[in-house]
Amino acid sequence: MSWRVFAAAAIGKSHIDAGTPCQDAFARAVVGDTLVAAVCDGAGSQPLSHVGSEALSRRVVELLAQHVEAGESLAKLEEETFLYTVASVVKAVRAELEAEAQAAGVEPRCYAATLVGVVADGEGGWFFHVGDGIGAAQPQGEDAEAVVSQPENGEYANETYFVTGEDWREHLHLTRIGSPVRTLALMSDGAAPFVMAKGNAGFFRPFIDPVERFLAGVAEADGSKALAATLGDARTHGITGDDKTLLLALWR
Amino acid sequence: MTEPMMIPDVALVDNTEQRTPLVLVLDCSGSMAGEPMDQLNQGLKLLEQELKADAIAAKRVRLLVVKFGGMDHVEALGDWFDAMEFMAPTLDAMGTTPTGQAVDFALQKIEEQKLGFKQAGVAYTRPWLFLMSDGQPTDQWQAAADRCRQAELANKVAVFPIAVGGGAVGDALGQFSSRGEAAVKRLDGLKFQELFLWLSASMKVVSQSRPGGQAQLPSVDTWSSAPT
Repeated sequence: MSWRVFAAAAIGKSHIDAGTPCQDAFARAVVGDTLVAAVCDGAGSQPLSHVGSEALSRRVVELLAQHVEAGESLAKLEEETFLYTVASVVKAVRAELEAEAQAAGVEPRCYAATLVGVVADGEGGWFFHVGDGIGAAQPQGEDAEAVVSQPENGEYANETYFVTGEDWREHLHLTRIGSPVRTLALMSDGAAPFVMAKGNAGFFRPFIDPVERFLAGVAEADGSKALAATLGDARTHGITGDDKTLLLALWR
Repeated sequence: MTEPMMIPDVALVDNTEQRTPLVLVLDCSGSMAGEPMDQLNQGLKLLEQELKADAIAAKRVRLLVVKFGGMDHVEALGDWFDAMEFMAPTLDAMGTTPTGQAVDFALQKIEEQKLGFKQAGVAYTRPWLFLMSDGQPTDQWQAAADRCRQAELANKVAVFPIAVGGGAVGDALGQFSSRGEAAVKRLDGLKFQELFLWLSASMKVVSQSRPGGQAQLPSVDTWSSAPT
């Protein structure tokens, strides 16, 4: 068994209309049986947040993958140890972003972005999360309930927390994936309304079932292209004006 | 050129529930009679049409109309409605200007609505309180203005005072906003149509707004004579 990973980010209608770039970004690495992946969503209020979300997703995945390459079984760590590892990685990437901001003569908050990520092998793993976006894992077995890393918003739906914020550490949350997984997903808040069922309790089957069926039979590159076309479908414009990112990993 | 391959048979529907509450607190005192009231009624119909015509706003904007006038009388015209089910009322003008009571009532309705959302697990954006008046309040309004200002400072509500016509109404209306008189927009003549077009356009932006986004509202130039 191994991971097959498909991912795409589609620019939102409101960003097309305003001429702003897609502010979502994703990155992933597979080291042996371990998948490391992240999806980031840049703050709409910050003109450089697409730079932040790209760098954040890429570097968090690179640094975590280095731990795995060095022989650490990250997916099997206890909560305290995993939290320490992921917090150290996020801290290091924040420092890189701060240095980059200083070199560019801008405030670090210009790179504001959320982060939802996963480290998982064939037996389970961890979601790690700052702000909104969703991580979801469908365990093997017919009636198994999905494990969901829920978004963290403020009182209002249009407020959230960013990795660049001073209080990022308080908002870094872990969710344990305690059993072997069939399907893993990371998504930005733009994709969540049609990928997830009401209340974000699990996947919306009329979306995910045809997607999984299709992806199971195609190569990663072709699957990601088809995923991009689907996320860019005009029907999504009646659902959200936001960028839509979905990373799907199938363990088969 | 070939179209990129779509994944077949995929359902793309909106499973989220999110609302943007909007309370219209409207002065229906005697001085609004005639042309202003006709224009206001037409403006409300336009708001209804515009919100219904936008797929996302129609689902997410949730409206309550509060009128004040009569003998220091305040009432809600029906309950809260999602924009897709909202029917613009036809208002008539008569009586006094109990602005303080009306705003207290609206603030209370907003908190009730938020509680309802929380209990039902419905996400929401910051409610808007749209306060329109053409005259000096005739009730004990200062305490209500304090409460309204505090509510706005506590991020419970966004207050948009609109002054209709000339006169000194702006001084009082400004006290209902944490930004003071600077927050008061003056309606230029009777450009209610333009005002409600702006309001519907703003609601489309806010109902779609997302974390980290500063909602960029449309310009008020089309209807406001306020210096910016």
